[in-house]
Amino acid sequence: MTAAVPVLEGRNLTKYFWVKQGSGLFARKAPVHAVDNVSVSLEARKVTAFVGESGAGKTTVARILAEIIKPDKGTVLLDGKPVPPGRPRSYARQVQMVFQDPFASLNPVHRVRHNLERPLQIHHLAGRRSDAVVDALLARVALKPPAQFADRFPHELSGGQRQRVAIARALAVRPRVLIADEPVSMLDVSIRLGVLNLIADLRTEENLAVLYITHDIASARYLADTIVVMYAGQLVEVAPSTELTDSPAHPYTQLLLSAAPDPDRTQPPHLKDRGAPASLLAPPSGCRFHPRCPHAMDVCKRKAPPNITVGADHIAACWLHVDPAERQASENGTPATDQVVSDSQKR
Amino acid sequence: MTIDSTTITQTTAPLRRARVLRLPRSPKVIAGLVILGVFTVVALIGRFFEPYSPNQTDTQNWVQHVLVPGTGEGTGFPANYYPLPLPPSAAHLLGTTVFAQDVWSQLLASTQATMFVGLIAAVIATVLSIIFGVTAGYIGGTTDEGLSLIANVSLAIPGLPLLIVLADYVPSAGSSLIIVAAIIAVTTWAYTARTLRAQTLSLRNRDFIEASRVSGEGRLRIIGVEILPNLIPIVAASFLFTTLSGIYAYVAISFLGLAGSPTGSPAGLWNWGEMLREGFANNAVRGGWWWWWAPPGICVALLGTGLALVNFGIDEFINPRLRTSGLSAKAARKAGAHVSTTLGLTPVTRKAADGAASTTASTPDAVLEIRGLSVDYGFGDEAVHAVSDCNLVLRRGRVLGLAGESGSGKTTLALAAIRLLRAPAVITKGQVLFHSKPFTGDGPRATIDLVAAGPHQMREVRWSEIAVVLQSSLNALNPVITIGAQFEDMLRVHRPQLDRDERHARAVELVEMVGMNGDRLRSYPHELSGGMRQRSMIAMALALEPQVMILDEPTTALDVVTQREILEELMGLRDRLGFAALFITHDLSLLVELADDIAVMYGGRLMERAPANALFRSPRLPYTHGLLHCFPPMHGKRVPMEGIPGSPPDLRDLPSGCAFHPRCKWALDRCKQEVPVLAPIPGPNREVACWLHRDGASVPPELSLPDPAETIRDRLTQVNLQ
Amino acid sequence: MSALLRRLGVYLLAAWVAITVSFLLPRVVPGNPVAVAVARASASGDCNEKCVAAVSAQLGYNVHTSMWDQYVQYLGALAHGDLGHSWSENAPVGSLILSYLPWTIVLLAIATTLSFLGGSVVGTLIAWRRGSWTDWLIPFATFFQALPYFFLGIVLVLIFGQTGTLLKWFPSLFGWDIYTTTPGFNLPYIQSVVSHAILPAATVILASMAGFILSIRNQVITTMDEDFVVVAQAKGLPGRTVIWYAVRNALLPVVANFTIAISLIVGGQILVEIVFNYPGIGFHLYDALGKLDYPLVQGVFVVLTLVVLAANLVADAIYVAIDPRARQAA
Repeated sequence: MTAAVPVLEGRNLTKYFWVKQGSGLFARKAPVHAVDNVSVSLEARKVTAFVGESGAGKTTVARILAEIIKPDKGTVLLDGKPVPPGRPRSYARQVQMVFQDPFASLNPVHRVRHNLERPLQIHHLAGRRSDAVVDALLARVALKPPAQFADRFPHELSGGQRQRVAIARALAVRPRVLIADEPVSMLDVSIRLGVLNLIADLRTEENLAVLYITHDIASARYLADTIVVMYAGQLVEVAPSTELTDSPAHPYTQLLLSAAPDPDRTQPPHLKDRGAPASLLAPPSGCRFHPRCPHAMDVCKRKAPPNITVGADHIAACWLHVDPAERQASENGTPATDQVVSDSQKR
Repeated sequence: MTIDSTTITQTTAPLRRARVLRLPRSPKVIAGLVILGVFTVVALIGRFFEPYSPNQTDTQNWVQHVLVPGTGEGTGFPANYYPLPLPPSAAHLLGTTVFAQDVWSQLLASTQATMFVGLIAAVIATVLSIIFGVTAGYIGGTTDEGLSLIANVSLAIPGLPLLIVLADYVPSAGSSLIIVAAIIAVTTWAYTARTLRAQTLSLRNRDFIEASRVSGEGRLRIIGVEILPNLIPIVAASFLFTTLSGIYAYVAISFLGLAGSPTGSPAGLWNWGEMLREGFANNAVRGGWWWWWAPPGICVALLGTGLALVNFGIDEFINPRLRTSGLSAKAARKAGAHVSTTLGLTPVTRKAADGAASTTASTPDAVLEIRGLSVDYGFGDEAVHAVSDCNLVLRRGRVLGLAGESGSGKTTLALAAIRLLRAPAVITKGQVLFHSKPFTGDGPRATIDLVAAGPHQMREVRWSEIAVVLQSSLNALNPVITIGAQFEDMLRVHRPQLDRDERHARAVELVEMVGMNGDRLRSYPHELSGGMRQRSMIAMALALEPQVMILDEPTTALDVVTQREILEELMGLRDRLGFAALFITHDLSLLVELADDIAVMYGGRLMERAPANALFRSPRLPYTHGLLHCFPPMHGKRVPMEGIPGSPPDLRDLPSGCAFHPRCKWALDRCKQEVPVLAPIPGPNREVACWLHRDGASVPPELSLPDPAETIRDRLTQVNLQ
Repeated sequence: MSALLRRLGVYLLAAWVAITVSFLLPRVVPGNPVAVAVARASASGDCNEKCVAAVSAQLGYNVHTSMWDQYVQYLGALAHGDLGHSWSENAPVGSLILSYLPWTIVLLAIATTLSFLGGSVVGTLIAWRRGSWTDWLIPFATFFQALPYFFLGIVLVLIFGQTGTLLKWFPSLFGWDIYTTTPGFNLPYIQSVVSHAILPAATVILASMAGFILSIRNQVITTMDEDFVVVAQAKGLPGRTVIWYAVRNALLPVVANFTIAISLIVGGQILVEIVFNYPGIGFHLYDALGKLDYPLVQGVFVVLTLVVLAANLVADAIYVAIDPRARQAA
């Protein structure tokens, strides 16, 4: 990790949701472990990608970082200083978000102009020049001529155009952090790259720190500098993108890579896995992936693995990469070096 | 470099705001608005035109005088007369009442009071329900629970009895419009509140509301500016409904004598209910004085009908499925189509049905041949050409991938081929030849033209020879019966020789074949995960050992790992059972690994067809080339890639000539004017619809790479065998 | 299960609200309706001193205990089934209501069931054969839905009633032939009960069915677009089965919204009973109103509310039975 202070950081974020279990008078509320002890840091001019299957907790982390949801444990830090919970207006100026569904992220009863003006008005950024600012924003996301788009309603635009408007809205306040939650998953294939390239350009031009959430590892590799892999609410691997795809250290990452479509494959994918994603209501003990893992050992069932550095800026939470001697020691309960003991063990 | 998505000219036609403008064109809504308009006008200014005051009487001239039998001359008793109302005449448009009052004037006055009470009650109720419903829906939590409880209790208590009791205890209420309206509002607000709450809840979770919060918008502004405008259609519909309820309630309590009387005490206003009460209480019905008792009742019914018709329009606005555009039998007949009203089959125009059968010989091992198929949505000038002139061959035991983006027509093509699309879809041209050679069972052993087939023939072929797996498994399974029951239904129809236990055993065998446990048959669809539901769909599709499986994006909604598992199973089953598969998807990279041949569609036309590996390594179509370069690689150096500029076209407004030309970097002049035709080009099983490959045009090097020597599947299979 | 228990809780609360409203109203309304009522009671000749005292106590007239004490007493009396004393009939309200109730409930049950079933069949037919002649039924249904119940009753009396002017097929007044038959388990009585019920039932059924037709039509059209109906057709299932798949799902929202339908039907039935002088509690409510017999009015209101709440509970139970998704608590 670089020594610079990250723009936005989440430390040990944990979030439970409560659902009703059972029926009748004996219904209890049980916690769904949506996010468990996740730490992430976003740096300026860098794109970090969160990858994982649905239910892995990526969107919840995004919403915690955007301060739409309050974490049950952990803190969010902006420029190294903790942010008070509840979303102060100043936070909205610094951290902005783009959502997945282009057809739902713009209010259908308002024109594009309204959607872009509101952030400017709320934060007193434009005053009387708001028309010019709106035009400039549209031009920046390559919707030209801007005058043609500003007065349209969302249903008059295509999916790609709406997503660009959503990005323009996020940029209106000149934020420092952009959280993009699956911004291209619902767009046609041929226009996805355009939007991703736009995000990449903006990262450089506007000095943004970008969090890119996706279930598509190929696009994460394309856009991001660092990829974070999540499984069942926990971090399992963090690495620079090319290194993650070339030498994945965690069995789950390997599973993801083998499952993803890859026409250049030289060998047929053999999924070394049977089984469904872990239940978040009653997650497996120890390492949450152990029921599906082809390399599962005894220790994996009993203790959650620590985060191990397996390369430059490359971390994996897997017992495979722990020195056998240390593995033995931790099985015996004696503390070992280089361990980050996670909260999940103390349950 | 940022792709400039919009300097490419898209449609410049002024975009119709179709949703809003369609409302007044429906005859139902127009009739409703006219009725409402008439009543509103009469309510507002009718009283200025009343010929007499409604209370005015003239006992001499405005009634008939009939001699009471047993009195008068020759009886020894003074003549005694009893009054009878006069029938309609020039002086009294609707006759008079037995109390010598003019009915028409009473009607005009009544219209005013009744409409006003209804409107005021509706206003009060709507305001109350907006406050309650929106607050409860937006704020949520205990506020929501408390307010919902109040609304539910209020809804559960029956309205009219409560109204009767309230009105009874406040007899002077009848003289004041406002008080009556308030009492009525109290009994009718809860229904709208509940509806608004539900709608607000669903809006609150929409992304654009979250986006507003992320922008820093305050709560009140979100409710007022972002949420409320979206509620307008529902509020409008509820307002009309409440007005009607208010009017009914007012008429009812007046009929019961609880709203005071204009001529007696306690004081009240003239309204329709009061007129009905007077008539009923004074034997107007038995006396046959229809001009007295009928008009108020008919007014209520007419007004109610008018409001209901307008409500229809609003309902159709909110729920587009209720619209009938393009569906009417008249429009269909004009266009020459048989529209089957039993909704089992896609309609076919008479022109298409009579069209001369194509005489070209079929490919030897073809199982499904689509020839020149064209499918429209709608009739006449407004028809949208979803699929134009498509030729496709599915070979026995092979996997054909059908790739395309939104609006390409791939799903329409596949579903129309088996006549599964609903009106307003209609097949306008072409044939679909099914060369049936069943594996098991007693299906037909012949070639059938599915376009010309009737319901009986289609039922013989459906599912037992051609099966379908759709995308959204949650919606594709009947939510209220178990999975096992759905197997049962199907097996009972197609395998009548099996008894109940055998059917169950077969169902168990099928689900285990796709990797599910047999006792899952007892579950309901919502109790299964997405992957399991899709597996059961596949098991159901394979139950009768069909010759052809059509899969429409079967795994798009699933996780990538589940997707891979299911596809592996599917391919394994294909190897074992030998069916042919038509696999539709937008994910070209998946098809390259999966399919034997791939066909690419754009703008409703087939544009390229080639073996999978050939398509991937050496595409001939500019669109395919662009599309392949939209998938970032998993290995190698990271380089910036470009997508395809512009976006897929709107089928209602296709570019002239080749639909792709605005986005094509090699477009010729010819491409703007002439639609390219799918034609063979050098190479095994290769076809392309592109002017670059015809008539000696020069082909860019990117589109003239040499054909690869082997298919990917061959390569992967070889590795397996080693 | 817990969903049902929650609904029960709401209904119990609603019952309590109705009872409390019934208790409070005579005590808090302006003017002096209660004094008038009591005066009329003592002047009527049917009501002796004890009766007047009972009525005053129930209505809170001239009573010198605190409101809270009166309330507790009222609730206690209710718990024992003592709904007060009707001075115009000089009988306990409870037993009076018991004699009226069967007429209303039988008519209500038959009318609701038949109109729901009829509405389902016709609504499904219209939806399934969309674009054909059946669409002409829609304006008729809209018109009938808009007709007030009592007006329709009057028209039916006019055309079919023996006191009317045209066909004179069916009796149009009272619950049975009070002139020539005596109540009991004898055939003439039962026959006359049935024939006297025909017109009132027809009125309620016709007026309510129209509403069901329209709402079920809309629901079936929406459901027919669902994928599982398309798949059912693709499976080659016979038409009957496909229709059943669609209707079974389309009816769910209609049953879920039964609350409002029941309220409307009950309201309409009250008016119909009045038009036909049919001896159910609706008619007697009207009768009691005219005589200012407030104890009877209150008692009828409470009982009527309880009947409606019970009907709603039955509808909710049916819903849980037919929608497996509702059985899960989570």
